[in-house]
Amino acid sequence: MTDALPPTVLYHCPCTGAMRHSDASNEPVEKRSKHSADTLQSSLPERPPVDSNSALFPLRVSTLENLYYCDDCSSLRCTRCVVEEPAGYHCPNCLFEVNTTSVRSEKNSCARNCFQCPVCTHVLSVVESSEGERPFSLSCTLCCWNSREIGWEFEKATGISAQIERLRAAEDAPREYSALLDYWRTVQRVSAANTATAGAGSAGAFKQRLAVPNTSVVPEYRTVAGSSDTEQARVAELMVLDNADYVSYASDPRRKEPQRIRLHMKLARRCCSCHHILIKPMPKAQATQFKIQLMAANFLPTITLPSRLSLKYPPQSLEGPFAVGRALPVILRFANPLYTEMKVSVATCSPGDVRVDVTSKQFTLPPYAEVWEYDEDEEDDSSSDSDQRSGIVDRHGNRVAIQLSVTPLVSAPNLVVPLYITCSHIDNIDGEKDRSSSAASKSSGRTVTDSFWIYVMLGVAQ
Amino acid sequence: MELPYVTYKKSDFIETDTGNKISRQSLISGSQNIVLGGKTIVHPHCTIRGDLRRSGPTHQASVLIGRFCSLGSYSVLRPPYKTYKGVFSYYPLKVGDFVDIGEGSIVEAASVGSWVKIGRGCVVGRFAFIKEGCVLEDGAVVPPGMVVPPFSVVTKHGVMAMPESVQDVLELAAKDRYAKFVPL
Repeated sequence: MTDALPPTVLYHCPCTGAMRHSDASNEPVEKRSKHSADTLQSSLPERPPVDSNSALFPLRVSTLENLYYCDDCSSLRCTRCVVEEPAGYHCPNCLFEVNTTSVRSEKNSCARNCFQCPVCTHVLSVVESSEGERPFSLSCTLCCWNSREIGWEFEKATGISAQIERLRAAEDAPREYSALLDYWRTVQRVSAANTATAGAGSAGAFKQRLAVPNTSVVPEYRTVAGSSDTEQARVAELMVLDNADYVSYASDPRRKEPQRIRLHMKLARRCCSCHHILIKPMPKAQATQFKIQLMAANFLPTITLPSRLSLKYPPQSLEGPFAVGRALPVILRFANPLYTEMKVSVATCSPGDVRVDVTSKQFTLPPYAEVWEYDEDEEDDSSSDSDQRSGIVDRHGNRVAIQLSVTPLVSAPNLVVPLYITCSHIDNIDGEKDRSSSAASKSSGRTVTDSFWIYVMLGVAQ
Repeated sequence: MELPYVTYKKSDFIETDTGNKISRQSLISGSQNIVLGGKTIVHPHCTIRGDLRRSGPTHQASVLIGRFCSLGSYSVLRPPYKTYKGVFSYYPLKVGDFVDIGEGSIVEAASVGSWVKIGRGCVVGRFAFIKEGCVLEDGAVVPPGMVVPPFSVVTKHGVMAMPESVQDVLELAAKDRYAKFVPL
């Protein structure tokens, strides 16, 4: 199970997972962020917010790359505490963008030539055979299914969906479906007019939408096409449970029909408490950039377990199982993603099954600079004696490695070390212009402090 | 856990001016038709079929690979082919930047975008299009002609969405991998 995973560092999101949470779990974090980093040691919570053995643990923690960061609330956001909204539709196969009105009229499917194979769900391609009046058909390149099997042959190679619509216009089921759709639209319109449209997002409005609309004003629905006897007989046959073993679903001709490919949606994400936009993709289906992208990795220090600090050092082996009662040195590496200096403090509390000793409780991460990416061979060996005493084992560029001493006290399938990280930096709102001027303007910068829990997952202790 | 350092014997690899590291044990055919963008690692027993190109005097390269790619051991890169209007022909295979192709994977795609991770033992069929920011899990099969949309992960259970940070994650991993691939 979990012990098979390699050692990793997981970040805790303070949310409860509810969309409108009661702020009970969120408030302490916001309050804490008003303190400066120096006074934080005293306000350390007594125990980690979630027990690693709890069943909720996998829901509350996540790797850094899956987390967002709201810079308005200065808080971590996970996929469960963001509001998602559509930011454009496209076909996943032809990557053609579809506007919102067409999505509805095209029944949320691609209106071009994209069809799914009824046998293997692969995308069908249009093939041409030389003979016949209708030379084109859909063929699967994976399982070799061909639409000629069900009599689908086309005159043109383009606009296949429109040609199928024309073929099927005379059939009963689509007519019945569109009649039903029209009927329920009328019902919806009438009932919407009857009820007051109070706050579309409120709980009351949601309950109203769930409730069965009042159909008394609208005349009862009458079937247009009339159900065929053979269909009813087939349904009756399927409903008899005695011969359930012999029912062949493949005999249903409807199941062999290619379906149009469902559209995909690009998602924009907002913070659930302040509705600040966190992710805003470019509307184009092919575009891979984002207009707004507030990922946690761009704001908070990246904390990793290095396999080896550099070639000068021996590799760090974190192969379990770890012996109970024996101190295990664990090296953690912090990397600063910001262009400003960051102060970090590491605190811990003993959850009972593990004792953690942190020598370097506070240190400073140098700012990130792109030039460091190129001086790979030039080692700036600045880990001085004072560093050694304070528990810092390596400094390189914007990264600092510290050493912890972890002593498992009881045997556990997964040795988890909870750590409380506080980091603060001066957010210079006016940017470059201010930084070059006097120290007085520097003090005008806002000190941003983030505090969060991380869980270092190590492996089996026995 | 960060990526481990990988060491190699200097005599086993050829290093080009642009920083490509090509194993002497790899099987590269038609090297004049292969373009490597730079800082790409070609592991031992990797096969690149640059000789499969459109017949006739064309100057087009048949395999184009971007920067910071890693072609795993026993992987096969083969340009796709089809018969169009009765003429059999090969078409170029384009691979973007920061692409990691796992051990033993076979790639016959028409195009693999940037920031793509192809796991171990994958099969990418002819004329498949793998767009930017995709991950193919180990053993994933992409059938011929399939389009994998941007930011999706292909698993045994189908295609799902990736987190928005996938480009940064894969770019950092690719640069880290190259920096940690060092001679003894």
